[in-house]
Amino acid sequence: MESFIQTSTYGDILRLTGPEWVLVMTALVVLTVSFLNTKNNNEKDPSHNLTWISLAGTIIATGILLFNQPLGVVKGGVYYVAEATKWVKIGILCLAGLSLWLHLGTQKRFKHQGEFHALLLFAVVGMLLLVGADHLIMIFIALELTALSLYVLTGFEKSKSICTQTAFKYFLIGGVSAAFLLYGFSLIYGITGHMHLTDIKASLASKPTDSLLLLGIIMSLAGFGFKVAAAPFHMWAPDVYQTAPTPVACLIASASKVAGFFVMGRFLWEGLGAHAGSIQWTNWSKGWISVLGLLACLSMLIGNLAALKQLNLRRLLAYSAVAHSGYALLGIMSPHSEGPVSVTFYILTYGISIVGMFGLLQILDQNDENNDFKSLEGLRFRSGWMTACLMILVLSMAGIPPMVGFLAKFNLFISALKASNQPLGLILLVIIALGASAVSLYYYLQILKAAFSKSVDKESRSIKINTYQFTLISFTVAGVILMGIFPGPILSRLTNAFGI
Amino acid sequence: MLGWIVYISFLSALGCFLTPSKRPDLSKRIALAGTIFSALIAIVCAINYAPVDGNPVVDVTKWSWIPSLGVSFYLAADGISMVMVVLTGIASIAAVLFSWNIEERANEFFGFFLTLIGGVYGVFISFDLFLLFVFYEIAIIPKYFLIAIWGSTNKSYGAMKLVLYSFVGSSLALIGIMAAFVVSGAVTFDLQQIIQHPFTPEFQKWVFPVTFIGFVILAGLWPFHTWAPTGHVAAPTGASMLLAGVVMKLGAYGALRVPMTLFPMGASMWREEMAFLAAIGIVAGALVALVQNDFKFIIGYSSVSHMGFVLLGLLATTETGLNGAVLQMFSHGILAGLLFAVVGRMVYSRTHTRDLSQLESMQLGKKLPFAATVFLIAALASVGLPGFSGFVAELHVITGAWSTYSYLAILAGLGVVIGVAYSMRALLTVFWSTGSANQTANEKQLSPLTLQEKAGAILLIGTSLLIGLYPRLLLDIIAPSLQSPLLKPLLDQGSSL
Repeated sequence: MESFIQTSTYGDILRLTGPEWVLVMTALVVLTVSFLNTKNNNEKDPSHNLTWISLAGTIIATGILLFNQPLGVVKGGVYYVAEATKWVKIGILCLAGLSLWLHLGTQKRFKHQGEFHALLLFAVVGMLLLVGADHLIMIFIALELTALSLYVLTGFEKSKSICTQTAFKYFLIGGVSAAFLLYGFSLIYGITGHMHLTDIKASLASKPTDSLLLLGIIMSLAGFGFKVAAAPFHMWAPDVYQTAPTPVACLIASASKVAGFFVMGRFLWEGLGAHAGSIQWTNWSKGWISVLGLLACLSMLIGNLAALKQLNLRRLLAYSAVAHSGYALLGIMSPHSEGPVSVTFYILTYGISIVGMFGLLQILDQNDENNDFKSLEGLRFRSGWMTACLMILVLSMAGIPPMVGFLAKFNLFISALKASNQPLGLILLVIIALGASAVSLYYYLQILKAAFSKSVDKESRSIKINTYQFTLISFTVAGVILMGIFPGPILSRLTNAFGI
Repeated sequence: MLGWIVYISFLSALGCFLTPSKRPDLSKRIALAGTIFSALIAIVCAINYAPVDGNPVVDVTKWSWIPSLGVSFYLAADGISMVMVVLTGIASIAAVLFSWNIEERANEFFGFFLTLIGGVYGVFISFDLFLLFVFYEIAIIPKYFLIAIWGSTNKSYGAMKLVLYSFVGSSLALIGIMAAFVVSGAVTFDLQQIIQHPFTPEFQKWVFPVTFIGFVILAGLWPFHTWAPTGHVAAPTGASMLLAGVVMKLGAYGALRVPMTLFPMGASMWREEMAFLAAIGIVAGALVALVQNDFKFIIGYSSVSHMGFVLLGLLATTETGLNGAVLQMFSHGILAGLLFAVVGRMVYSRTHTRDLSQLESMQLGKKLPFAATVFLIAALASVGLPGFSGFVAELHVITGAWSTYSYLAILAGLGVVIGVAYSMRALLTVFWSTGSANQTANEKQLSPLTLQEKAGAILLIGTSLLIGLYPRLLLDIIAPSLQSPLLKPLLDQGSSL
């Protein structure tokens, strides 16, 4: 079943990129169906059907990955499929599927559902391609496919001016970041003469870490930093989280981040592994670890401090997401066997809890029409189930055991401490991360406090929860608890996949 | 069997959460049954406790949990753990009895309450550092809700301050635990295996203070104690009994179990500085308690002072000192619970004031004779009246400290004297004031003490008396543990000075 392919006939490329093809086809089917429905002037709302079709495509793609995915490299090394990318893609598809499931629960539907679903699927295709990209141009194209789809999706409710504004902001910042990325890539190409990551590595092995290369590294990291919302490239995140349609925000916060972190790690580990440098107290040397260290510090501090002042829950989640990116960067900075596993595990599990949070926010949205702290007050008396779920998800994000957030963070810190050839290389950053977690506990507890507090005028109003929302949130909560108590199967699978 | 104390607590917590909020009586019964069952198990296990093949650490449960991180679900107990779980058992029964007046959202209250107890039990019987830390963190969050929802006086502030202090402390402790794990080769979190790694003195020198302070923040080491009085005052009675009674012990126990056991050389480098802080805590806590006008703040600061004895005993690093520290943990756990019960439940929930000048005019000695007697006994016992547990404990601590740092023993003795002063001041002002009685306040009738309150008080007094009269009940359990390979290096370092 799992043969290793290394050729460039079209048939083999098709086999290697099976899941991506399935999604592209699904997107086309969705477009056709919605077009036919419009023509027939069918009064019945077709969007549920479209979501089901999209979900089916996602499931088929996951099935292919699980049961019939050959491993291999497209000749010339543009694109590759390995155990590790397979499992990361499955994670992305699961998160995308959950976002689609969230869309099933949406009551207020906007126009042009066909285009909405197609773009969403294209964004996911971009993420999958990004994970398998092994070539600078391929990375850039996949990144742009994802980003362009997401810009449009963000501004999809074009009747609201705030949405258009946010989408435009996202687009502008994204465009500039893409330019930075491309400039960084061109510098690296100029130095090495290669586009393929392994060739770059071989070529760079004998070269010193000079300022030109550093400039290339910094430019590329600015581009990747935008993708994963690391400070200071996070400006778009609060607005997008706040105004984008919930399933889109959910996709941006979860699946897109997984892909971003994976490709960033691959670019740094595979392409620039020799120029990591060191930020050890006594033995500093320049390299990308210093740049990442700065990004990580800024993300943890800016994210958590800004989150303290937020009154809107979505903006709060956005800033806390910036902080979480900062923690995850610690894992990227551990270029040894356990770094990749810990980052992937961290971002995947974080993605699951944020999907659950967006589910809860969507319920509040549909009952209260806003997402500020006030809308949570008295929640305890309106829905005990929602409060319990909120508590578990929020505590998981805060890193409290036995929820998975704790274990993921712990794993990350351990791998950061093991990094570098000298023990305890990154301990300073781990200490900052722990301090930042203490700050974050403050605003996470404020959320819970609001949910548990009394609010006389609201307690009588009941909350309407539909089946889709109920199943989605129960699923994520169960996942967060079960993975926290029994992380063994997933961790060992990831460890095997990353070849340790 | 000992593992069941943890499982029962968490299961009954779940049971309480699931009971309908309209049935407060049901969740109270579940809570009482859960605490009594686990306390009985703890006591039976403590009575049957005997070292196996000369190793005082008796395994309870052990299975591999996260193999890739070397984490195992490893519950075990030595004599010190045994003493602590018995304390937790008794204190938790009493705390449930004194929370019997909770009617509002009782299901949630007892749910959080039992989660906290489960976490505390878990810390005391974990011999895997990861597991210990997991339980330590589980114990933090319920405290926030217990105080922020059911508390009084500045509850949001008190709750948040307490939780953030605890969390920062646990983060520091986590740094030490992770560093020890990585430096020892990253193979296991098992305490008994990790200890065999020879940590270099340079490493111990920086990691010991970080880890130690991380743990003792929760034990109220001066100057990191400020969360304790505000937190205790804001908490509802049952929660402050648990906070002062057992949660503060988590810090002291953790400090003994983790940094002092793993880094004995670091301990000997830093112990004088730390012991000095502990002694300052004894005197400062007592002095501040002397000038408080809020009845509950007096007890809050007295807890800081008494926990100073525990830390001083630990840092004496002699056998007598450690014996004294463990005895003092037990004794203070019982007596602090009793004092908070009198202040918070017997007095405050009837008079609705804790202001000494207002209580003075109420002549509570006549109206609540039982409460007055209980407070008299508790106050005397905690300042070291022979015959009660406080006496043996403080005697051991001061004797132990004398052989190491005699000047600190003198400071501690001074603390005892001030302790007598603030206890008598509180006792005389609140219960037996000779001042003119305020007529209007005097006419108000106070409801008589309930059966649960009396039962709880008698349970705690009886325990304190039993240990005071026959301390060997505990000392015999503790003794073999001090000879174990875990604590041997620490005591060797102590005697070599």
